[in-house]
Amino acid sequence: MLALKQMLRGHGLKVCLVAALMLAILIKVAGDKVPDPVLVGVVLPASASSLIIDFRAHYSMLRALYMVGATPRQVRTYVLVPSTTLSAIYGAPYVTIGVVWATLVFILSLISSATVMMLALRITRKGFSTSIAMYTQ
Amino acid sequence: MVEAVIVLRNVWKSYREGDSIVTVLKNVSALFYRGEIAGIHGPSGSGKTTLLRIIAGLERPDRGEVIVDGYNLNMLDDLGLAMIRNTVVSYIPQDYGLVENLTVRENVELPLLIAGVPKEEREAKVREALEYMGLLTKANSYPTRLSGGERQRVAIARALVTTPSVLLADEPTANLDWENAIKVAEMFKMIRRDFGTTVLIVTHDPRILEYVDRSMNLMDGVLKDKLTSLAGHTHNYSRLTRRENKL
Repeated sequence: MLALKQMLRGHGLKVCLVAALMLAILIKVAGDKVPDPVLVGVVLPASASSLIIDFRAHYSMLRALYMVGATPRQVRTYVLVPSTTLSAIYGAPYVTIGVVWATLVFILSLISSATVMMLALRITRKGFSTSIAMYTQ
Repeated sequence: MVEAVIVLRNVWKSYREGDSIVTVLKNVSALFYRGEIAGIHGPSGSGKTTLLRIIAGLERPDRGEVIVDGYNLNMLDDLGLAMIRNTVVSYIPQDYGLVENLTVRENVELPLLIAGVPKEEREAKVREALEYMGLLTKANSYPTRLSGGERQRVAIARALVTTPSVLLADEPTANLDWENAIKVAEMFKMIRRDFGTTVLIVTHDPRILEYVDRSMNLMDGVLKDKLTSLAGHTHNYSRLTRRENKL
């Protein structure tokens, strides 16, 4: 719920919806002229930027979650919900060119967006723990 | 008899900075008692914040023992430490740590939401905390719309909503003018009086130290107030064991 609230109040979801709409139009109008790998490839930067735009908000939420005692599972859920939601939205337009392509887009988008969220998580954790123990583990 | 609520024994902590290793805390030992307001002062980089984070369970010491309200933090895993942060210790960072996309009410509600408190109970507790801090009229405002003093009060309300045993404040007056700084110091006294909370303040502002019961100096990772003896303090280790088993 918190992750969805953050997404609704941020800019990432709006950017994602607009980008997905543009992709849907592109696929419909010029899908046969643009190679499929290119169509799929554009999703990687698009999904990453949809989260980067709200990076500060996600970072501050993760930091607050740590401070108030969120369990590791709750933190993981917070990391995964925006990534999965955005990936599903990006994958949807590709259903028209095939379920396999849509699945591939979903997976690539998930990798891209989850990397951004993991980076936010890593920065949060590093802010709280940069001891030698961490480096030597 | 006075009960020790925080026990630090021979705590060491080091960081790697480039190729060199910086030892931030050197063999720190101290006792903090239930219901006291203690101040730790020292220059920047002396290890004050690190000490506070270790007590909050946000960082682990490299060596040494940390016991907070009967819980030995060394023996807890990440889940156990999360539980400690949610119920036993509240930490207020220097920048207040508020989420800008959440309203004042939602920020204060966060620890209760995490704890899975039912909605009705949550709303009542948040209302109570906001009323206590004089923030009821600001409940639906966003932190960016508030003054520094108000943000600090929101952070305190969020820290208090779970009625923790220990409240840790990192430079609580650093971003405030003197008038608001005094108000915050008075607030800590009020919290101690009303909830019996142990308040540990880290500051480099010597004027705030007038408001604490006991102050200690942390210089180059060495705390001046050394642990002399545990004798005479009702530190109950059977309770400690029971709680650890529960976790």
